[in-house]
Amino acid sequence: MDSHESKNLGSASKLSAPDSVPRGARFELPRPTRALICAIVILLLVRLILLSRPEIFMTVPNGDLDTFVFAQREITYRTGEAPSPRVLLLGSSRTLYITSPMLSQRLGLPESEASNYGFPGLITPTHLLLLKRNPAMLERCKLLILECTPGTYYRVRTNELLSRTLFCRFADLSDRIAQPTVGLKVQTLGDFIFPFISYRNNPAGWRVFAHQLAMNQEERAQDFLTPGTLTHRAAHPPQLGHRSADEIIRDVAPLPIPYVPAERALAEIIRIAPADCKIVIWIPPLRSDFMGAIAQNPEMKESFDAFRRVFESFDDDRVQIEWFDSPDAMSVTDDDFVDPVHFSLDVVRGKLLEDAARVVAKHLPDLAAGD
Amino acid sequence: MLFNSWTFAAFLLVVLPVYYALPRRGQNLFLLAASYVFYGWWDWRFLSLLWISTVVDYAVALALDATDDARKRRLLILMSLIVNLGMLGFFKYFNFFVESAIDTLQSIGLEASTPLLHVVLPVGISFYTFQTLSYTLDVYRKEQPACKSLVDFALFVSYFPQLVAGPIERATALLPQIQSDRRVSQQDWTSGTQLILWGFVKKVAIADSLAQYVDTAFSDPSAGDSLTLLLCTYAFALQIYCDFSGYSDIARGISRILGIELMENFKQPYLARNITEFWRRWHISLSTWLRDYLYIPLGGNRFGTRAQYRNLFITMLLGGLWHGANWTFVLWGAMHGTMLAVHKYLLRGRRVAVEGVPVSASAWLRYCAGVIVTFNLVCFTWIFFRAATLDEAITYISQIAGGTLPAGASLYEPAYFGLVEALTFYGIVLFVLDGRCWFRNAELPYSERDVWWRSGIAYAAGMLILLLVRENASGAFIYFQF
Repeated sequence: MDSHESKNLGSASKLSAPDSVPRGARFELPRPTRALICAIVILLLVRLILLSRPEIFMTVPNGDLDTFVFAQREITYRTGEAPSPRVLLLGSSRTLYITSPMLSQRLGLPESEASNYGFPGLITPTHLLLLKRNPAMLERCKLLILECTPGTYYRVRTNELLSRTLFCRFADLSDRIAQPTVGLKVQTLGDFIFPFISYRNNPAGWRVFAHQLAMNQEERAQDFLTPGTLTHRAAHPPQLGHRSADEIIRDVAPLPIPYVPAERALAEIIRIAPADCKIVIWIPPLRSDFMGAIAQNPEMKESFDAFRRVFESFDDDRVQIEWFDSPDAMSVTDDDFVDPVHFSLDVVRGKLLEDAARVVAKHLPDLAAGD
Repeated sequence: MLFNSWTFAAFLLVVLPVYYALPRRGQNLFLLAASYVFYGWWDWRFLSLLWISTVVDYAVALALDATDDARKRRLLILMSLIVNLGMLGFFKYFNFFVESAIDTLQSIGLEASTPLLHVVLPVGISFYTFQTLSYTLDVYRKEQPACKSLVDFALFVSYFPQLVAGPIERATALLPQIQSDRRVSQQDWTSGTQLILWGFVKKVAIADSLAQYVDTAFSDPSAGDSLTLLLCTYAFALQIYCDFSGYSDIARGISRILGIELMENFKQPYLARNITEFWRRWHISLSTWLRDYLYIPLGGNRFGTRAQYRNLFITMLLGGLWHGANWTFVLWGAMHGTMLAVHKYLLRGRRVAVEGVPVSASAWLRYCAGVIVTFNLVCFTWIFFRAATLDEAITYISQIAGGTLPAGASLYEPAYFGLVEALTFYGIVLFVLDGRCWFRNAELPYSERDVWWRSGIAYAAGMLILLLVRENASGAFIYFQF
C-alpha cells in the first residue's frame, strides 16, 4: 500500500472542547476584509453591466421552450425592442407555444406583420404594463388579441393585483412610485437595483447563456418543439383529484401586488390603442372537470361571472369577446389538456392556432385577404 | 423555518444583536428561547417532544451522577433509552413496522389488518434524540459529568443551528462551550460568513438546481432512458451531498458567529479512495456516533474478524434504518455494511493507507482509481436511498442496464442539454471548492492564506451564482425528513 507515500492529514473532526475562553470576553465587531470588499465591488460592477445590457445573457434557445421563449420575450420587452406588428397576440402560458413565425406563416403574412408576445402569467393589467413599456408595439397594430385565462382574476377581490415578479420586471418608474404604500414603493424601487423579487437575470438567462447561440431565432426553437422537450407537467398531467379549483387557481395566478383593476387596464389599453385597431378578448376553454368545480363553488362562479361582465361592459365597437365556455365549443376534449388550464402542444399548434387564424379572419378580413 | 428563507434572515437579524448585548447567562436563556421559536415555527406541537426528551435526560443524568449502584444505573439508562428510542420508534417507524408485519403475515396466508396511524414525523427527531442519548450514555459511562443547569442542558438539546439536521454534537464538545463565556473574533466572522456563503452555494445553487432532474427521473424510471437515468444518479449524488453538507456548513457558520464551534460533518467524501475513508468523511457526526455507541459496544473488532464483519454489517444496517422507515434505507445500509466488511477483508494483514495527498505519480494513479471506483459504488447505493420503493430501485437499475436511448437520439438531444450542462457546471464548481479544501486539508476553499483578490473573485462568483439561481420551489433540505 502507499501509506508511506502520503502525507498525514490532521484529525478529521473536532470532537474536543476548545481551550477555556477568557472571562468577560466580548465580541469583535466584524470588519470587512479586502477580499470581501473586492467581492462586493465585482458584484456591483456585474450587476450594473447586466442592468445596462440585460440581453448579455440571453443568447440561446434550448430544449426547454419555456426557458427560451420566456427569456427572449422578456428581454426584448425590457430593452424596449418588442416588435411592432399589424396583428399582435398577447397571450399567456396557454398560447406560449404559438411562436411568432408560426403565427405569421399561418396567416400568410411576413414575419414582421404578426407576433405573439405573451408569456406566462399575463392578465389584462400585465398587458397594460407591457404595452406601456413598449408603446411602439401598438403603432402599426390593426388587431390586438388579448388571450386571457379565466380564474387568474379570482380570489383577488378588487381584481387589481398583479404578479409581483412580473410587475417588478416591467413596471416603469411612475408605476413603482404610484404604489399605494411605502413598503410596496420601497420593494418595487429596491428591486430595480437588486432583483430580490423579480429575479431578473435568473436561471432562464443563465442556462440560455451557456449555449452560445444567437438570440431571436424562434424558428430554431420550433425544431425543439417535440413532446419530449415539454416541461414535466406535459408528461405527468395533474388531475383535479384532491386539489380544489381554488388551489389550482392559486397556482396559476399568485398575485400579491396592487396595480390597476382589470376593467381600468382594459379601458387604458383601448385608449392607447390606435383608433383603427380592433381589440379581441380571446378566452380558450378550460378543462371540463375544472369548469365543473368552479360552477359548484358559488364564490368562484360569481367571480367568473364578474370577469365576463368586466369585458362585456365595454360599449366600444372595437372590442369583441371570443369566449369558449367549454372544450366542446372549440371542438377539443379533456384529453387535449395537460392540466386543468393548459393544452397539449399538438392542440396549441393545431386547434388553437387555427382558432387564432379564424379570429384574425373574422375581425380583420381585409388583412386576411392579403391587404 | 428554513435557512434559505427571508423569515430566517429576519430571525437572525433579531437574534444576533440581542445575543451580543447579553451576558453569558442571559445569552443561554435567550438562545434557548430563540431555539424554541425556531423549532416551533414548523409546528409548535413538536416542542412537547423536545421538552420530554430534555427533561427526562436531564433528570436521568443527574440521577446517574448521584448513584454508584450498578442496578440503579442500568435502570436509569434504560429509561433514557426507552423514552428516546420509544419516541423515535413511534413517530418514525410505527407505520413501517405495522405495514411490514401485515405484509409478512399476508405472505404466509394470514389475513391481518391494523389501522395505521397518521403520524406526523417531527422535524429533526432523529438528530436530537441521538444527541441526547449520547449525553446520557456518556454520563452512564462516567465520561461526562451531569449538567446541573437545566437551561444549559436544554440549550444543548435544542441549539437551533444544529437542531433539525445536525451535526449530532457530543456533550463533551458542546456543553463546555455553552457553559463558558464566548468570544467571536474577526477571524470567526470571516470564516463563519464564508461557511454560510459556500453552504448556500451548495444548497441553493447546486442541490436545488439538480433536484428537478432527479425528481423527474425517480418519479417514473420506467419512462427514462439509460443515459438520462445514469446521469441523474450522479446528479442525485451531488444533490444529496450539497444539500446536506450545505446545511451543515450554514449551521457551522451561524454557530461560529455565535461563538460556538460545531464539528465538521463532511470532509470531501467523494474524494475518498475507499469505502472506509468515505465513511470517515461522510456524515461524520453520525458515523462516529454509530461507532461509539453501537459498533464498539457490539464488540467492534475485539472478537475476531468474523465478529468485526458482523458488527460492521449490523451497525450500518441500523444506520440505514435511521435514515428512514423504508426497506430501501435498510438495504442501503446493508450494502454499505457489506462493502465495509469486504474492504476490511481485502485489507487483512496490510497496513491501512494514511489518508492524504498522494506524493508520487503512481500514488496519484492509485488514488484516482480508488476515488472513481468508490464514487461509483456509492452512487449505486444512492439509487436505493432515493427510490421510494425497492421495486422502483430495481426498475431504475434495470433501465440503466438496458442500454436504451430514445429512438434516433444522440448526445446532442436537447433533452440532455440541461442535465449535462448542469452536471458539468456544478460538478466543476464543487470540484473546485472541495478539491481546494482536500488538497490543503482546510475547512474552507479560500482563506487568509490566499491573495485577497483571488478570494474576492471567488466570493463574487459564489454570490453571483446564488443571485442567478432562482429559489427552488420546494426549498426544504432533504435531510429534514429524517
